[in-house]
Amino acid sequence: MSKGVRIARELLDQYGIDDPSEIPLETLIYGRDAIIREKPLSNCDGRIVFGNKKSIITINSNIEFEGKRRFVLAHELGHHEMHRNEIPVHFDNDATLQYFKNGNQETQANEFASEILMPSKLFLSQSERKRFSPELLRELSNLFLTSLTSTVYRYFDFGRHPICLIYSYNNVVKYWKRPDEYPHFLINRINLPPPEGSVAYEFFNEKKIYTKANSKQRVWKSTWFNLNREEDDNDTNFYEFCIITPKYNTVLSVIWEEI
Amino acid sequence: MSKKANLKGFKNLLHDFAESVSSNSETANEYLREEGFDIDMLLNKSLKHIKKTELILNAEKNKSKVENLIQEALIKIKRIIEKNKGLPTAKLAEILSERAPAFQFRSLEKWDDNQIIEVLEDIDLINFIEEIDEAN
Repeated sequence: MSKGVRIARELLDQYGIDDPSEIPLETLIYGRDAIIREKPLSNCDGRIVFGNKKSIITINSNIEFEGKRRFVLAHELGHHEMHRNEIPVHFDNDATLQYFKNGNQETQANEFASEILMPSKLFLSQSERKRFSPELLRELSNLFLTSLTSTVYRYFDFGRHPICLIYSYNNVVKYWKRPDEYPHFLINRINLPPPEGSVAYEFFNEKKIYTKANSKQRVWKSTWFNLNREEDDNDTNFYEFCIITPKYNTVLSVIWEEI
Repeated sequence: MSKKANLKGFKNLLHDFAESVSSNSETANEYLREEGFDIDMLLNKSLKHIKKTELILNAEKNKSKVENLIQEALIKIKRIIEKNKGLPTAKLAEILSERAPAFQFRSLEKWDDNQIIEVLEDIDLINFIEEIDEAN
């Protein structure tokens, strides 16, 4: 178990919290002797400055979505719990809040935030008997009051249906992630544009964004994966659902197979 | 025996029974289990409720204390904040490195003046809050 998850579980246990909806996040933060200030921040979503015992967590008041606001607060609480003796200040922006390209402390704070907002046991019980779909992700995101992006990453770790994630920025694939022992070979497109035929490609090249009702799009397996010998695209059912953030020109593609 | 005396006798009997059950936790638990209660679950739930209540009370106390302290601290550091606003970037970075030595390891050159001023404000704020808190 990672440090972030362990510390989050200890905290939830210390206060008898099984379900995060039982206690407002702000209450947990004040209960841990951290101070929340809300004001416009120019270059970051959140910041924490440590004192000897207390910390000041400043959250950007311009954050539009409650799910993101909660994730930033939980992430900063993670720094308060784990990193107070290491660096006196943390700035967190879209880059540090992403799971995959940061140093140890940011990863720990992200893991902490996910466990605080979406405790693994509860997440599993809420998702395990349900068929995977964009609707399920939205349902979980509404239930836990989390962003769709953080819910997707949580589902990747704890969901029952294997999914692959591909993150693109400015029409370039920056990162991909697939489950261990996934039976299909994801083509490495790091530093290349998303492939033609993908939903990500449609956004970057045609500015196309599907409506909620049509957000699950069929794609050929060969769009993102290698085809096995004697395998035909018509033999498989692959889908892509994209979380698009036009403001930052990013796309998180969620790819899965339905059998 | 009169009805009244009967009722009194019955009440005494009930009282003695309740007393004997509740005065001994093993008997009490056994009685509750026989009645279909899940003792461990009830204990666990109650304990969690107590923990949550303690957290809420502690958070409310901290929040209300801190809100007052912030007002007091902001008044005290207002002059410093204003002074910082007029300083050049290099001087701001120097002050920051003095106030928080670990900053020398960060790429301060990538920070803009506003970021440095805001962090200095937070450092002063947290120091004043902790000072006032300790003095009280």
